[in-house]
Amino acid sequence: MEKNIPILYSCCIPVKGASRSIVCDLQRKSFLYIPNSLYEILTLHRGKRKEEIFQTYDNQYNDTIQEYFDFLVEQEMLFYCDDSERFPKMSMDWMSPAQIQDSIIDIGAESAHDWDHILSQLEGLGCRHIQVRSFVNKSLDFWQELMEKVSEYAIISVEIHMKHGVGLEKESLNSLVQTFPQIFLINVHSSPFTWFAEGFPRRMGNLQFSKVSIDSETHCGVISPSFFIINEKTFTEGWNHNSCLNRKISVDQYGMLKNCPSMVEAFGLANETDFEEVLKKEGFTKLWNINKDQVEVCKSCEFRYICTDCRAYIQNPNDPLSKPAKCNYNPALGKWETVAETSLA
Amino acid sequence: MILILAETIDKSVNDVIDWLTYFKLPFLRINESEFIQSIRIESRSHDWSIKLELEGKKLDLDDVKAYWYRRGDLKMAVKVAAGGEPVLLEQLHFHIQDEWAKLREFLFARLADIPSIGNGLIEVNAANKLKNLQLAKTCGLDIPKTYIFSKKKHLQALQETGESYILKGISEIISMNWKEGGNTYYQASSHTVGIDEGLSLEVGDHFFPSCIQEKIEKEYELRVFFLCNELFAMAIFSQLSEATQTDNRMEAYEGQNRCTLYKLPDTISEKITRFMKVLGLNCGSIDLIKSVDGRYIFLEVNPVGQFNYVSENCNYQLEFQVAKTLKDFS
Repeated sequence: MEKNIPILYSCCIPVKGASRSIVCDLQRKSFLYIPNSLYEILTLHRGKRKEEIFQTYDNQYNDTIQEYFDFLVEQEMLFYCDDSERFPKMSMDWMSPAQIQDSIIDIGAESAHDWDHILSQLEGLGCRHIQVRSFVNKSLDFWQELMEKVSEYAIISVEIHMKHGVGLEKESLNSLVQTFPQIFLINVHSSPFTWFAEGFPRRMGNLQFSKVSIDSETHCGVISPSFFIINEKTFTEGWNHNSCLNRKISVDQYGMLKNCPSMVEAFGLANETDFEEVLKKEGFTKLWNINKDQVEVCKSCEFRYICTDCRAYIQNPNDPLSKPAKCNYNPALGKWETVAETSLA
Repeated sequence: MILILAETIDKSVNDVIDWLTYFKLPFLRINESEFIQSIRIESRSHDWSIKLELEGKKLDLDDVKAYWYRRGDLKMAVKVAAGGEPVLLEQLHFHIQDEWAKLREFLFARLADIPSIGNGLIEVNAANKLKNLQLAKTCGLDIPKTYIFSKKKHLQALQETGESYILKGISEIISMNWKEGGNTYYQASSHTVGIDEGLSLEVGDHFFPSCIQEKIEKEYELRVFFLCNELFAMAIFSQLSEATQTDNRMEAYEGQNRCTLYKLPDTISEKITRFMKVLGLNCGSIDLIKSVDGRYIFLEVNPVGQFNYVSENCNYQLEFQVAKTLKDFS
């Protein structure tokens, strides 16, 4: 039989926006802009023979449609088959054995965290990734001791945001990164200069100095294309759940246990709380299932399954489903109004 | 308790263990680098009591409710006292090795009595490609035309037919390491060469028996993960890249070949299921080719093949499936 049924590879998933669409390439970790008319052809007419698709549009746009297909074949996103039954779509189910996937732990002037308690609680819930943000300057010895503690637990990756100060130099921090392979990133914020190593960002062991100051949890919640993540795990998670808050637990600078440090609602002192008990409280997980299909504006955005989210800083504090306040993208125009300032290179 | 025999580094094992932890199922993982230090076996009226001690680990087979033979081995250091006649010591060493080999075989046979994924028994696990080709054919699957030659003239006669053939290993991939200028180099190669390329090398009139197979013009390759009669298939469009037309493992950027979720025709699924049943395997990775002329051609089965690549690209959640199967067994 002739191969004339155009099919997207199962890892290439079209997402429609208000003014344009994208195809997310979960295997090669990238995306491609396509017009909404092509989105319609790829989804509404999936599994049809090319000639049938031409006929659907009264053979008025054969050349254009053919050009679209040629373009996608060239991008290795589309192929032709003779039996679409052999090529089903991928399941969009998401599942994870980690009750908690990631955690933010903030450090302020008043912090008195019981690190052993916090880390053992996180480990027990299967959490393998933590982010530590310090709004105040801490010595090299402090970071050294903290990393030694972290090494005793099953933590795979650590992201550290530390305030610039004496003793936190390139050389000393580089050796910290070398000593602890769990370090994914050290970002020295409030630095008088900007610097990052050649080849940044690498898979692990990154070090950078940034002039941007992170003096409280309010710096968070920025939405930017530089935070897009495109892979099978995050895409299916974003499809089903909140792409920031799902399976997250945090400790704010005052030691309060929260879903995210920027949230108002707290669930007791982290030092004295059994984290697993907190997860059972309905209020704690109430935002976990808010995916972008429910969020105003985001629901019409083509980036909605590869973008981050923020439910703490939103445009209308009275509407929990309103757009993140720090997002400058307008899906109706397909335009970023202004480029957001971020602390990452 | 769930017993896992594995290699030290194996992402799939770690991922499955995360799920076992999630299910709150106790497990014992024994890596191939760990040696048995003592053994206590006792015959009982209907079965055996078997207790092993490894460094820091104790295994009582009575406690094992499910077992996953992933890779790895049960190992024991075979030592002979120093001193004495070297010729006799050598013979004694061989004898003790034989003693251990039989004991090891017995241990794996008893493990096979436990509900399990995979099978550590040597005759099943050390898959023989030639025997499996024969078996696949018996089960109704297409296989490539296959020859074993040891004379150059036979190879040349095949070349003169004008059809395309490839040379292929009879056993597993070859891995070698060597030292040069203070560095140790390691190379593992499974790469198959065309018959012309093979003949262009300095081949004597007689050579070691070598496997030659017809080169199949492929539309795509298929990787099938088989688990307890369920099949999870993925097509690999390796022909997109010139360099990978013969074997997709030659691809410089692993993962760049286009992979797509695949549903096998029922008739092929049934034949594969029959093949695995006769082989006595409830888990394995099967390689097939879909030829340009529309045939499904069986190449080989790997009882302990990697599956996270298939799982991730098709969102099959195979790590969960394996853990869930172990949970159901226990």
